[in-house]
Amino acid sequence: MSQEQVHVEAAKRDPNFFAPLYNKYYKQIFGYVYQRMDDKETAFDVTSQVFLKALTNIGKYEFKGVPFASWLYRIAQSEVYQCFRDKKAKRTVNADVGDLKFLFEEIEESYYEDYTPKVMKLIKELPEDELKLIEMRFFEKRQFKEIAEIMDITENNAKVKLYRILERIKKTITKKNNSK
Amino acid sequence: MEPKININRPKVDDAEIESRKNFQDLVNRFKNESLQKARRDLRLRRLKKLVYSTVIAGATVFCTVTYINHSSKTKDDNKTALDKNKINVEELTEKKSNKFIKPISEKANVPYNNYKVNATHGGTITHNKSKITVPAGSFVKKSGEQVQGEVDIKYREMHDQADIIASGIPMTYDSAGTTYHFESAGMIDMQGSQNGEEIFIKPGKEIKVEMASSEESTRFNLYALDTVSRKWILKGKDKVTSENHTATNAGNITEEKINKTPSIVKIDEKIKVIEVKKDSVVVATDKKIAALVVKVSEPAKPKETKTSKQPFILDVDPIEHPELNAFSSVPFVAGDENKNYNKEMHEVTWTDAKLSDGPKKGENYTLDLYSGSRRERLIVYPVLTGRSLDKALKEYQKKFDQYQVAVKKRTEEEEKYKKAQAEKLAEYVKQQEKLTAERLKEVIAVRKKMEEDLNKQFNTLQQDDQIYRTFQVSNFGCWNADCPNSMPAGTKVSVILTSGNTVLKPQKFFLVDHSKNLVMTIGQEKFDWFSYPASGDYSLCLSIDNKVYVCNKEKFRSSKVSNGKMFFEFNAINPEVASVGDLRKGLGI
Repeated sequence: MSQEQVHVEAAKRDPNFFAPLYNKYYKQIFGYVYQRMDDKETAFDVTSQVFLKALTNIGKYEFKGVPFASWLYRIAQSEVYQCFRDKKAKRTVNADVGDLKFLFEEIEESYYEDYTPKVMKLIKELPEDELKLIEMRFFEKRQFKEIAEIMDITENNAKVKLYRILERIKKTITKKNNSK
Repeated sequence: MEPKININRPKVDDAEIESRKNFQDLVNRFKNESLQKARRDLRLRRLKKLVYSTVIAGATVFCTVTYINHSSKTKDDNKTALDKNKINVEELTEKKSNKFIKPISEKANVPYNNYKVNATHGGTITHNKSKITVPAGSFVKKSGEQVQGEVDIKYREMHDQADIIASGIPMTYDSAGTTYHFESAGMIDMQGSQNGEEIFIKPGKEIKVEMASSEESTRFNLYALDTVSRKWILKGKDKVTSENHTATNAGNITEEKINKTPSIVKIDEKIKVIEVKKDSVVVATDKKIAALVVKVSEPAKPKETKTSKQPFILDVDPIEHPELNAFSSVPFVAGDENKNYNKEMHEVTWTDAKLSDGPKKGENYTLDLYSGSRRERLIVYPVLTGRSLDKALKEYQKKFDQYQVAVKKRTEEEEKYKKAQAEKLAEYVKQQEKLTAERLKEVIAVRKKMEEDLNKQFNTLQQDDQIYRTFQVSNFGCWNADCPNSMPAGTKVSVILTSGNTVLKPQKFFLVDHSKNLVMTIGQEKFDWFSYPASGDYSLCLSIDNKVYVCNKEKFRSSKVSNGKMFFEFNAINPEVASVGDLRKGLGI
């Protein structure tokens, strides 16, 4: 049993033993939540809610190949979307120019500053599932294995889906460039 | 609704995120929610009981009386279930350690010393030469509520083999499937309570223990006993100081510290970059393979058709319609699926006809017939017999050969990409292996340097300086400065343990190494052999039903083999052990 599993089993018996897990993952969960919304205070509130849900349901968590972190991210995902449904926060996409350059490297195109609004417009119009993939891969720099665990799909599925999205982005960018 | 876009939004710094953490608030909210849920469940149970009661009361008086009796009992059970905060510490300790930590004898257990500390303001406990520093606000109750006022701290230390055996604290450690035995530089056991109720160290708080020790070596690690998993958990290193020296800045050599060394961080970053590059190579290859398209589709093989239906025959101008050349003089019959077909269509002189692929490409065709404003569309099938069939088969073979060439080309391209990918990945793996080996060397070098720095500082220790081993305790229980040891190598012997004429069947059985502070558990219940070390200073100790027996160093060495078995003669201590001191004397420590 790993140290983390020991903490999880102990937390099932006594919530005070949840502290090491809370301390370890607080920053990461806040980062995940704040990546998807505009308001910092709401992001902190949602983060607290995530850990409350995790502590309330920790009795149901069993390690069957899905790491504890991925289980937490799934709760975070659910809480974030509940927040949008309740209209307590607006869905936001946050990216740096560096993230966009990374994306362009993947589609083997040169990146120019004036592409930024065009690309972000394309990304904005993506369906939610596809937007999640782009965010996790390029803005949060997660590996495919982790993305697959969080989204509860296979690693191969994640790669294929992402590749298709990138193809579409590339086609649109090159089409727009050619029509200029 | 489309999301809002932010580019280069300022990040939230770590200090702000850290300041927003509030574990106590989380526990309080959890407690409140649990309480509200329990109350809701209770109200629901009571409501159900009322409904059942009404139904049963209509039946017989006997059933009603039984129900009322049952109802009272259930109420009491609920009260007990809701109100079980008061737990006697002795009972709790007994419950927790029940069969797990069992002293060798009721009388010979290492006793706890009782101290009082103010939980609100904190305080210091002096235990012999050891010092325990409790910060203010360090304790919480089981409910998570902050503890205020005076609390009771029970504390004891184990320093030698007699202490270790007497306490019953297990000293085995499993790592990678191998069992080791702890050589101890000193062990503590600390418990806390208030008015008989167990208390806990608040998450985020730590109690500083400066344990007086006779062992100055830095080769010991710090472990804490996890009573849930019943295992010792590595916590890092304790800090070794002497009375006349202040604590060093080098502090503990932990894996975390080593990993934060700039040279190690640099290597770790390089390894991470390679991992991302590997990912990208796979994605790029997948893209290229997916883009390989066989431009030619597999043709359908024509089959001989036999029909009695009246055919349509196309009179094709090969210059004007070269694409229909293959179908000139090929009769077509209308398929049964056509609802608009009738024989009259064969009497009409159609001014124009168009033939295109049908729903089953290669098998049928769509024939559009025009005459003035009239237009008919039919699904037609070529009638292939004799010469027309031969011709169709020749055309088919040509197309099939082209198709096979295209497929072969695609397969070759795909293999080319996969080979290139494998080569690139192998290159990256090699780079990673090289970096990993470099990292390992660097870790060893860094650790060596850190240990040398620590040891340099202790070279000037004087003989009569008191050694202190200092560490931070984040939960009550057992904490130990230990070095894992293996059982000594020796000859495997079948043993008979005796005391006078009595053959002893031990409940606990230990091999004691007198060259270091080491007690090895041979077997708790069942054994009939162990490895007898050829040299060294050892004794044996065992217990049966509160009675303790020792085979001292001299008797251990002089034990003889008879009929393939080795006999060890034990002496009972006193005959019941009265104290740890008696055990110490019996062991010759």
